[in-house]
Amino acid sequence: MAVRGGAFIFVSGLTAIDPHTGERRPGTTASETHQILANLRQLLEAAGSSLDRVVKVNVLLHSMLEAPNMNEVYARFFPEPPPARTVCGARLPDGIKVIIECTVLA
Amino acid sequence: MTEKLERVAITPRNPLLNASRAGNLPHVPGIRVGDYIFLSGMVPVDPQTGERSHGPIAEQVRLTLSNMAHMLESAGSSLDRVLRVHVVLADISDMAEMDRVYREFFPVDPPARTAWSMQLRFGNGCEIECVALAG
Repeated sequence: MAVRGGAFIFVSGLTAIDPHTGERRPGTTASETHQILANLRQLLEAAGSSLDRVVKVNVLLHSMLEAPNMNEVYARFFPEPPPARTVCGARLPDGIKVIIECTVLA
Repeated sequence: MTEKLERVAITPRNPLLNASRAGNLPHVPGIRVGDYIFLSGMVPVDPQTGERSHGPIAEQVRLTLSNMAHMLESAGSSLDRVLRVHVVLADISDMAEMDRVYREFFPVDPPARTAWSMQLRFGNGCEIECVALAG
């Protein structure tokens, strides 16, 4: 899910999964965003970092019409100033609605 | 022994180019950490008005890269210190025209680059992000 190299942690594209079972948790764009960022927070804290050390995020959405739904949830997770970010619409596999990858300070 | 690096948000000297903040979006235009600058996807915004500008793709790419240069210069860096670029086009058939304008901005020793097409927002024809060396 993530690799540390020097000062940085590189996190793979995360999808909405149940952190206990590893099963997919398909939902709305908002609920998938929430699940992914909750998992990301846990993953980073386990690695000794945190959401406020995220530098750059790439968000892939199954439809850019969903961007406001993603943003509303996303904004609640990141304290000011939030990371740099790019958001694009892409064809995602298996009905996935959201994928989020990031670069973080260790 | 390992110094703890901190994140510093980049603010463009021209406040009209602070599009993400102006649009109340939850990201900053760029973050500097140590020797590196990570820029968000830059889009074709007119620096005179702060409005998105959707002319021909050549014009959009020129505006976007000019805004990228401004953002880097605001952080004490410049286009010739860019390491890696991602170019996202709304329409893949704009590739050749994008490339023509792109070469004007990186005439010698251009950075690593990947370009592809994706769905963009707000009718933007291109979105370009980069990682650069600071200072």
